[in-house]
Amino acid sequence: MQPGLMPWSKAGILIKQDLSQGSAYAAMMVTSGNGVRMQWNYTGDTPGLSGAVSAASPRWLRLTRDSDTITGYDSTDGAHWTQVGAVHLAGLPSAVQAGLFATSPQYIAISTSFGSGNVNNNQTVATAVFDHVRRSGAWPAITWTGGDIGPATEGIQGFSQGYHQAAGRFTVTGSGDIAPAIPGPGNGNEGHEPIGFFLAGTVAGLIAVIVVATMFMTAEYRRGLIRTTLAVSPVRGRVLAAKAIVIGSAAFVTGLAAAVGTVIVATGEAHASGYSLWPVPWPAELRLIAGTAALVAVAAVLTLAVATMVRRSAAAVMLVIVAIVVPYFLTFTAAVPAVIGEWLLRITPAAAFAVQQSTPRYHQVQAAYLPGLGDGFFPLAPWAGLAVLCGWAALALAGAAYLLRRRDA
Amino acid sequence: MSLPLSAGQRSHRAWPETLHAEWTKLRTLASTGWLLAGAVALTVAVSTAAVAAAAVAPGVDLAKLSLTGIQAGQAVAVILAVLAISNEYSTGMIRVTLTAMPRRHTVLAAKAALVGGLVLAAGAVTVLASVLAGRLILPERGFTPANGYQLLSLGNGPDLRAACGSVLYLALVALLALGIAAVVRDSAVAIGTVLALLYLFPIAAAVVSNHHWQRHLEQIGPTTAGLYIQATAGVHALPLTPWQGLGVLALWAMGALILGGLVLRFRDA
Repeated sequence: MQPGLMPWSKAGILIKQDLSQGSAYAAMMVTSGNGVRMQWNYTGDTPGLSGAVSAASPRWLRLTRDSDTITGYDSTDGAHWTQVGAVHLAGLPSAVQAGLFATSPQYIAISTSFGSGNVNNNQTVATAVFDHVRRSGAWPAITWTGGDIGPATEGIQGFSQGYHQAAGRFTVTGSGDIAPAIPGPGNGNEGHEPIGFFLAGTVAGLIAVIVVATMFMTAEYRRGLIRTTLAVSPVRGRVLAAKAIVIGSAAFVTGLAAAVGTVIVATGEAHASGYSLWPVPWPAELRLIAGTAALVAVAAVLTLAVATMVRRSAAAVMLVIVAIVVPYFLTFTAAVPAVIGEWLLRITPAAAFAVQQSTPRYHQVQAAYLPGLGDGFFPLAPWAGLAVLCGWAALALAGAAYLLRRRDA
Repeated sequence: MSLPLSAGQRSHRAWPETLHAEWTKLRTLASTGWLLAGAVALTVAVSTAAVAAAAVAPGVDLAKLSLTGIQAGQAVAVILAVLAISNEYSTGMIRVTLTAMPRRHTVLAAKAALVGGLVLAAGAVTVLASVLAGRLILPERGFTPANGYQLLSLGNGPDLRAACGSVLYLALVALLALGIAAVVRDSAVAIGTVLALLYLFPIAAAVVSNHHWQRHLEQIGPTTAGLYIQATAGVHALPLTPWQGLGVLALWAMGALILGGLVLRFRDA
């Protein structure tokens, strides 16, 4: 492979159920920037030998089949082989397609300005040279043929996908990717959103919950009721804990009802209007709903704690909104460059919105994984994002408990 | 010997007195100074971070990029405006105020003038600092005349419009907040309502996939339309001209103030 390719430009050998899009496969490949990999069924990926590959330092790849188990091996010299992985392709027919491939994913350039982000996808091309191509076992005695697999490539001038064979050397050129489709307009999948996209209204409900949770504490201070409350239950930490449990539970139930309602209505409307929702497996859908409820509940507890510390409605509402809603807003509307947006969604309480990411991010698939363009991708894993919010809430609760105990009411 | 003032003299003197009274109240609120400083600091910090992380790409609007912080800083201006009125309700001071100055719309007008003036002053400082940060940092990020990017300059018509417009934008957002606070009275509810109004239109516009609806949402949203004033690139592609956009925000602010004035006039304090 040549320098200047995409890190996930790849070439190698492949066994595939048939030539249709989406059929089962397993492949051994060399990549431009990620060493040897074994990949299967679009989302599977295991590393093999690392290091750059060149004509001077080639790699040997082997796939063996035993019933519906495919085992991949790699080697630097063709004599000493290491097993990379063995995968089970359920229901693999006895007659399969096998071949050489080369392909290179799109190059993505992202520019953002307020209210809009532009993603420029440029096709790239990879060319690979193979030699010592051998088959062993019960293969039919036919020669290799070359062709394009998958949808036609557009937008590359002066290039044709190609296959060339001479004196046992095969030159294969290709463009595109063997990978799962990623939703979002940045990936050419506009108007075909996963269900998590329709939970975008959460932020509106969250503002209302923040106001209610603030008043749950500040109303006590404003009316002087806090003195009565603390006279009746002098263990102040317990008062705070009880309030946190009440507001957290109320917010959780509210968030749960809102999320379930949204999912049911959005799915029903999509069916009724013929809108094709991006498929999301049910565990992920369940996580979207439960995660949204948890996000609202923990945000309510955080608000309560902040309100206990600052005691004034205005200051509490502002602090929590600046901490949660503003980072989400700045990133979501692409008001700040994507680099800053990613950091905001890592360290601020807004990280918890990661629970609303419907489809996974694949490290081995080059795509526009942006939160800002409606694609709904977050830098942290769903539960890790929620953990960031929980951390902030725990910190605020500790501060609130300390101040409530130390301060005159 | 002092003579009782006639009705005409009383109304003639009402304005300066009301302004003076409101100024005393606003000036002596502990939060006012902190909030003004906070608005300036937050805006300049976000703007500086945005220009420091910017990368050369087609279609980057340097003036808008340098003024990114306005979108965060407006939240603080909102609090300042809301507190100017809701604090009076939370302490019961409003009853004293309205007894001393029975012309209720004058009270609201005086508050609007003072809050608007303060935010204009803080906004001017903020915008100047943000533009300065943009002018100093952007060339280091590759936005040089050699690469086809003009240096940010207030001597340049569109940049001047973006800068002055952003100051006016902040003041109008504050007036919108003041009007809503006069209607709902409670600070938490007022802040929640105003910030929802400010931040939800852009989010809704980003989510709606129908371009027709998206355009409409952007045209009527106080933030989306109001911030057209910051555009210096691709102005012709906008659904409204920059000044029309700011006009939409002005309508929102005026509507909120009129509603606030009416509610204040006809409701028991």
